[in-house]
Amino acid sequence: MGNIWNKLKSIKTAILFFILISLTSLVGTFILQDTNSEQLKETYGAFYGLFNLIGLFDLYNSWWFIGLLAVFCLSIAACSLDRFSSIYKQVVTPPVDLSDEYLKNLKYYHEFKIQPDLKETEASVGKLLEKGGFSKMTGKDATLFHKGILSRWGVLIAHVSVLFVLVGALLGYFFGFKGHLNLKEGQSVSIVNSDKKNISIPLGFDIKLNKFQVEFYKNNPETPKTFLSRVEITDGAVKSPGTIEVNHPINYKGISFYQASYGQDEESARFNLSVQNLQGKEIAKIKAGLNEQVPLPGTGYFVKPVLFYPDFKLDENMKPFSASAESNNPAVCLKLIKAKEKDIEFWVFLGMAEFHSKKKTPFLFKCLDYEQSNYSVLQVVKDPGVPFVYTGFALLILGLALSLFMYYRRIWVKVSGDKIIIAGMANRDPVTFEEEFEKIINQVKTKS
Amino acid sequence: MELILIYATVFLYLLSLAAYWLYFFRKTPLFEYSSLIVLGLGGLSHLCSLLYRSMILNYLPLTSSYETLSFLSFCIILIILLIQLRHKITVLGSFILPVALLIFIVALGMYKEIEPVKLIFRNRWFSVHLPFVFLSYANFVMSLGISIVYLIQEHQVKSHRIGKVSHALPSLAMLDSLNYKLLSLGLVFLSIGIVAGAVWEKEAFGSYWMWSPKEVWALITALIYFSWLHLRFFKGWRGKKSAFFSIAGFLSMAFTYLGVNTLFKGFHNFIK
Repeated sequence: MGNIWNKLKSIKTAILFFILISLTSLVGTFILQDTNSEQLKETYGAFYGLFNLIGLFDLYNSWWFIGLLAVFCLSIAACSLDRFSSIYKQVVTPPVDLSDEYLKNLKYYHEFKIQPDLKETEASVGKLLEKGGFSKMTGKDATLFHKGILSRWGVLIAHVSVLFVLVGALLGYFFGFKGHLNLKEGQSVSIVNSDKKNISIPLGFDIKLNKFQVEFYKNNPETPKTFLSRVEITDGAVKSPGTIEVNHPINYKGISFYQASYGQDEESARFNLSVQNLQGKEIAKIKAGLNEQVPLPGTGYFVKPVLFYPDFKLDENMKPFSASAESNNPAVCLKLIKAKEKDIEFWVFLGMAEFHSKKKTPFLFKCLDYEQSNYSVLQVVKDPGVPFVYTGFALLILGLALSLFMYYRRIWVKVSGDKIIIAGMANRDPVTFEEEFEKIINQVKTKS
Repeated sequence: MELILIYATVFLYLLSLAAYWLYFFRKTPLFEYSSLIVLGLGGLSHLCSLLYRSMILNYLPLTSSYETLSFLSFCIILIILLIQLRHKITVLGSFILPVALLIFIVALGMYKEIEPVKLIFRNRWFSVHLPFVFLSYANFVMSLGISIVYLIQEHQVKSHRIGKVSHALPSLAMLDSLNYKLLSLGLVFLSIGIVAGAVWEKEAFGSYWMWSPKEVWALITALIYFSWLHLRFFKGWRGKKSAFFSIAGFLSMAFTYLGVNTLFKGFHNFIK
């Protein structure tokens, strides 16, 4: 048992984990992740079965990768305990009284013999060190001065921080979920489909999209400047409104809603049409939604928009289709209907108002503009691990800064026989300590 | 306006490079101080070009390849100046200034007019993430340079060819100490950068870590430097071993920064 414990906290184990985590996560960048099985079967052929069995297609959620991180956690926990007991010992029973032999073997060592009054010199060295920020610990026949103990605590804090982050991540993995909602204006939902686990999760409250707004840059109309959803959450009798913006999620009862993206709801398109007689005189202005039959006053005709393509194009068979959802070349197909007559269908283009269909129609149609409502795509996340992870992040930076920008050094001052010994030790940054040590020795020399 | 500042920057950098090279062969105070002052002026003009862009963007000038490379070279210049001021080591400029200048010229090759910032980037954590990541890169580039100088110097000492070059270079202990300081500072910056990036990702996409190739490689880079830290603290790996770690870390960092974007274009679908 003790053997396993010692192995867990050893440097070799730490480096081994670093290498294992690096290599395994690297594998995940070369094998497609989270893709549908058809595509995977096609790509990996004979290896599909094997890869699937060992979870290579969802590597970062596979049992063995999570397991690896869990054992890594154990190793860090072992290190942290080890660090803690070592610092604790340092504080409670510091090694003050050391033999002359031991001190002589330290890298930084100096002895004076010339002083007439050794005790007085010892006191003045002590004062000098204390002025330099060193803490003093008096032993039987030696005094220990030390500085920068916070750097040792920093090492401990940095290790504990990783535990916080990993534990938080595991909490989120086991007790959280992630899903998407497509909400039209006015629509209200109370369940969300999980992205991963293929199950519906009740939110425990209703969320309704009241209004979706999008604003574009004036000189760059393709790039949205901002988009946001005004929502209302109904929980029993309590109603609370909120605004979800990119980078500004809202949180209700532990569930966060993020503005992920938006799309245009083509079903909701409404067109403003201008109807002219064949001489070009406007006889009516009408408004018609998709699949809505609107009468042309005084003519006995009805108009019905039947198709809407925001990016109208013709394929090789001259059949129209929409190349994308962007409104690059919006066109609407209108149907002209009259009792006892054959229906006439023709396309009207928004970008080319003067272009009229070759089909014979009793009137000319222009589509002035159209309105379309957007739907908002919200990401829904529940993650109970957040406080742990953020605490871990803060501790990581604090611990690293303490352990790297400060360093722990000890100086022993001891009167032994007819000489005074000054010896020092620092675990890191030897150059800086050497300068500091020499400076102290020189100050002692000039004083005496 | 921006172009004038850029031309002035290049001119001043070239001028100070000449001073650094003259100093390498003839150590006079004239070359020492002129290199420092001219480089300082160049840095100032460089900073102004960055600030100008920042004011127009109303954001950090760090969202295109030109901007990030330009900022990276600026950070390296800043470190050269700081080391010269604090540690009185002038000779490093003659090695590392050409590297910074090269990065700046590559940046100019990718020069692009100012474009509006994508909405998803307008986040306080993302604006912490960017500068710290590039500050850490600057430290790692600097450390790479010092590691190479260390290896050259060590080779000279070991083969008892302590000649002109060897005398011109700082001592091995000094180089190792500088390397330690740069790598540890770089590691703290990188950690702040990664942590801020994770918080941004959480605010923007709902998860801290999505295991995209960029993130995986950032993790690998960080783990290389953390390995170095552990081995140095607990196994006393200094000098040559530190230098090799710095080179390995740099290669991983360069791949994270440049390689991932070109090789994994299809995978890296951060912004849908």
